[in-house]
Amino acid sequence: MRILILGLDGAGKTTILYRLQVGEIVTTIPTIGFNVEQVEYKNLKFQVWDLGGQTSIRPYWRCYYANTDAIIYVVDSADRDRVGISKQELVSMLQEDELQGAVLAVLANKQDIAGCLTETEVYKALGLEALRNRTIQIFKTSASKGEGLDAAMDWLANQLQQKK
Amino acid sequence: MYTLSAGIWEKFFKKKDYFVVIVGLDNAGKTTFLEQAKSHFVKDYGMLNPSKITATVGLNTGKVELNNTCLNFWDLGGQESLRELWPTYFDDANAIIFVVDATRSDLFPTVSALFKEVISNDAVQNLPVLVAVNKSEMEGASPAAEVRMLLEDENHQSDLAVLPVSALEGTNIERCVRWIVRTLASQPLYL
Repeated sequence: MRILILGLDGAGKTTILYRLQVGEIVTTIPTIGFNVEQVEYKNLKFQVWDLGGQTSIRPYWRCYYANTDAIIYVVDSADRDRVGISKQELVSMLQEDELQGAVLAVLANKQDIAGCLTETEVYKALGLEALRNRTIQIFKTSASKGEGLDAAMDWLANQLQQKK
Repeated sequence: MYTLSAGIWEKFFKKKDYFVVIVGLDNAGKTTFLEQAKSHFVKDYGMLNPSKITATVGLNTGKVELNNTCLNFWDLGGQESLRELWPTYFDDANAIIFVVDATRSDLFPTVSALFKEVISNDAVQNLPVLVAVNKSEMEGASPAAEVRMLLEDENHQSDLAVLPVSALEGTNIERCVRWIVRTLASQPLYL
């Protein structure tokens, strides 16, 4: 099973990856390139790719699209200014043929910050209403506190088990 | 001449695509209903384990083909905050499935109000609506006739059906899907 973790820079992708893998907070620096780890969850083995999110390296995401079973798209719920850019990246990514069969889990991350976007607001802000032929699920997460990630992984494991 | 014959060919042989929106209160069984429908009509479909289905915050999709008709299901989250997302889907829908949990008579006033809100949506007024009275196999479930009393549909311009179902056991799910297909097929065709 191949999962991509994508999203803008600073959304928390690397923190999430290592939360999943070692269950701890690691100190991260902006990812230039990618991190890849084997994550085992409930007897399912996932190969999880965390790709750098900075503007200049987003064009390279497409090199990793082939054979992807699921996308974890991470949004910084507290960054209202850039959610529009996040939407554009998501929309153009989902138009790719190689990702037509991929399940989409959106993590509304940084929910521990006061005044952040709610799930419904994230749904609207990302324009998910326009995606009519794909299974989508939003999760409220706080990678720094480790909240919401289990629910997201349970859901992914269940969806992917069925695809297998 | 080509256009004409192509049109006629399309009318009779092309699979017609319809969109069906599944709504209802949270935990009514919408996602299980959809999974059950898929497992009845999609070959080799491995159904999600019903005990592992969690609250939907987003969208589940499904495609069911039957008698030259293709039904595309949109199963939406039922939590209160998510209900404001429903109307955008109603605009593109051809039919609505409204799922009710028959065992939760304490929620019937809410169901009644919600149904009223859904059915008074401009788009929904002209769409066939199927009310699936779910969890009917459980002890203490209210009969479909009782649930019918909750539903005001005076201004509704299309067909309405109320059927007891068990999404968990799969009872009557096939019937629901067939009702939708039949009702859609009997509507005037827009070429």
